[in-house]
Order: sequence, then C-alpha cells, then structure tokens
Amino acid sequence: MKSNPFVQFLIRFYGWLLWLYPPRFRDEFGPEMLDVFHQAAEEASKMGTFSLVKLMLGELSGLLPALLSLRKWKGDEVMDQKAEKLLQTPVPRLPTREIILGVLPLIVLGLGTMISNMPITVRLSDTLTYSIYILPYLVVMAGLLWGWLKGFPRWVYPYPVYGVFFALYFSLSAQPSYKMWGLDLWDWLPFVPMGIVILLALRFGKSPLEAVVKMIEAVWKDWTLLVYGLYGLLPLIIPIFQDETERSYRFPVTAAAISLMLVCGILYVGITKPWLRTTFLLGGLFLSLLTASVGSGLYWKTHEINIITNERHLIGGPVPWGDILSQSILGTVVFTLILLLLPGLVGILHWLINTRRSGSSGAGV
Amino acid sequence: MGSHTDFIDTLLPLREPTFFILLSLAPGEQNHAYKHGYAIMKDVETLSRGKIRLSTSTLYEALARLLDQKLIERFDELAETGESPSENHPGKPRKTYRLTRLGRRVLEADRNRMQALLETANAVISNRVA
Repeated sequence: MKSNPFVQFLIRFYGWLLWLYPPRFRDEFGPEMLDVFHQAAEEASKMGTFSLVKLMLGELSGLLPALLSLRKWKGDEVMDQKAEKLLQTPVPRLPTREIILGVLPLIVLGLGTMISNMPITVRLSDTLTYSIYILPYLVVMAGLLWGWLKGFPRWVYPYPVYGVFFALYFSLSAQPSYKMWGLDLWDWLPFVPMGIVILLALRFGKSPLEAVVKMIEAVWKDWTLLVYGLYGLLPLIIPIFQDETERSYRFPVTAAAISLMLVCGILYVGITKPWLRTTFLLGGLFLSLLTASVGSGLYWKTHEINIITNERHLIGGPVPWGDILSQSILGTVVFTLILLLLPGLVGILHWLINTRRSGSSGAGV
Repeated sequence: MGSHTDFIDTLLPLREPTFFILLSLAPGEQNHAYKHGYAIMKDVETLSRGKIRLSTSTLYEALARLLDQKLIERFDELAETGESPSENHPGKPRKTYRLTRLGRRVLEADRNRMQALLETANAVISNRVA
C-alpha cells in the first residue's frame, strides 16, 4: 500500500530529527524508532491529516525532554566524558613573550587607528599619513614571516588571517588620486609584502608547506583562531562606524571601542580555559562594535548637518536612548553574525564531522 | 537479596509512563511476555485509558533507561518468538522487549506501594466521613 506524500514527508522529517540524538543512542535505537514512527504515521493517516499533525506535534513536544534526559544515559557515558574532557581541557599556557607577540598586531593596529582619529589638526605629509596605515601591516607581515619560519607556533595564528584580510581590504580601497613614492595607492601594492613573505618562507623555512598545513589544521580544530584573525579588522571597521562625525567626538568613542577590543584580545590569548577565552573573544567583538555603533547613533540623533555648508549643530531636547540602543543592538547583532559566518561554519562543520565519526565508531548492541 | 531490595527502593516510585511500560510487558493469560516498540506504545495508551500517549522519543528514552537498569531485556523478534516479521515490515526482524525478573519485582513493589497508599487513604477518608 502506497503512503500518501504527507506521510512520506513526515517520516523523512522524523529521520532528520533523529540526528539530534546522541550518536550511540541513535545507532542503537534509531532504526527502530523510525520504524515505530512509520507505523504510527500510517495508522494516523487513516484518521485524517489532523491526526498526523497531532502525532508530529506530540513527537516534537517529547523531543527536548528526551534529549535532556539522554544526557545522563549510561550508554553514552564514554562520549560524555570525552566531550567534557574536551570542554575542560585548557589550551596550553603561553609564555608572556608569546602572549605579547600574539596581540602585537592588535596593539599596533589599534594604536594606529586611535592616533589617526585624534582631534588634532596637525598637517602630516602624505607619506607619514599613509605610514600610519602601512606600518601595522608591515608589522603583521614581519610577524607572519617570523612565525612561519618557526613552524607556525600558536601565537602567530592571527597573523596570516590579518595579512590576507588587510591585503584584500587595502587593495579594494584603491585611491588613484593618492600617490606614495609615485605609486598609486593601493591597488595591487598590498600583495607585494605578502608575496615577499611567501618567497622568503619558502626559501629559508625548514618545512614551509608542512607548517601551512599545520596552521590550517589548527584553524580547523579551533574556529576561534579565525575569529581572532577578524579582530584585526576591527581597527578598520570601527572608524567606518564613526565616519563623518567630528573628531572631538569620534576619538573617545574609537578609543573606548579599541580599548575594549584590546583587553578582550589579550584575555583571549592569555586565558587557558576554552569557554572563558571564547566568551571574551566573542564578547569583545560584539561590545567593541556596539560601542562604535552606539557612539555613531548618539552623534547622529543629537546633531543636525547642513548638507550644503557642512555645518553641524546640536539638536536640543532629550536624547532618544531607546531608539539609539535598539537600532545599535540590532545592527551590531546582524553585523557580528555576518563576521562570524565563516568561522562559525568552520566550527559547525568540524563539530558535525567529529560527531558523526564518534557515532560510527560506537560499538552498539 | 538485601541489596536487590535496596536497589528496588531507589527506583520507586516509578513515573507513570515507566509504570505503564512495565505493566504492558507483564506476562499474563492474554498478554505475550514480549512486545515490540509500537505494541508497547499502543498498550500503554489502552492501559492508561487514553491518558498517556507516548511519543517515540519518550518511549525509547524510557526503554534505554530500563535496559540500563536491567528491568527489561531486548531481543530480535524472529530469534525470540519464532514468528515471522509482520506483513507491514517484511524481512525486517524487529526488536522486542520483555520484563526481567528484576523488572517484575520492581513492578510488583510499585503496585504494593500504591496499594498501601490506597488502603491508607481509604481508611482515613472512611473515618472522617464516619
């Protein structure tokens, strides 16, 4: 007897839900559960669509309590112990020198951003101005080369990510009217230091390609390294939030956001407990962006600008904090999720593959 | 013996769904000693007069726990019963479940507990009514 399409769909959907169960439980009871659900669905279909819907709702309502209860299932005790061990296993503590090396790009970039937003009207030469942007990038490249030659120790993981994102960012920020040493900024120029680093590493490194594989493996196992790499973009993103605001206003907001980022970045590199370092990392990312967003919202909700004369003046009246905060929080959440999309995908993929491997390696009865 | 009794005491009182699952597996004149999952589900609904409708997740979470506690056992339908798989599932030997001796003792202990409660309640209420 052929089942109706809705029944077939429900059975398929139920099969997907089975993936939520602990792997060993799923291996042991999954086929049976699917079989029982199949029978229940066939019987319910004889009584009508409403019965089918009731059946599915009943299944969904029982799902969460069962999953919570199965956390204590003896059959998965070994799995739980392994998972707990993973969660509790601290990362090795880095020596102070390596912690400093790990946050150096962040410090250099952060200070560079703060300096470039200071409310001072000192006219710098073009060369000096652009050096403020180039210097951190060169520090990153030097650190990348050094770390690569050392076989990619843990402190260097942010450097390649910074390097790639910086090169891309600067190449897209091409400003043909601006020149430095007679060359157009930036276009293909940002890739030159990276090219030099690659050549030097291949020439002088012991096992340069193996080191790259090791770095990729490290990022695969710890998606937070990729997020930390994105931290390097914050000193560039934060001023964008403050674009067109007055320097006297922009500087304290930028300084606050960058300082938050620096503190959380240092804590991420220095702390050994996985859950705590991840909390500081993600919290720092979110709070830095939120600070910049609230700062920008506060300025634009309290100032009016004459688009012809560019004159700005304060709007009187109470500050609309509700509007500012709600819009800033929403915008920051969306932006943070976009930033975390790639690292998040890496993390989820890694977890899924690991979970499947652990499940298929279970003995089963 | 002592340790078994102590162990049984730690399991009481049974939750209603668990009690009815064990009850459905209790052998009787018209009751097979072994049942597969779907039959247990339907039986629990009948025994509880429609009050308890087990979802598959609730049922199998309970069965997994009862297996761990050694209150029930699990077999392949064909190996245990000698019967062919049902016509709806040709060629698929299903798992069947039955009570262990310990499971029977736990079920009886909970029944006795509820009986004692009932007797106490009846005595108190009758006295007060009188």
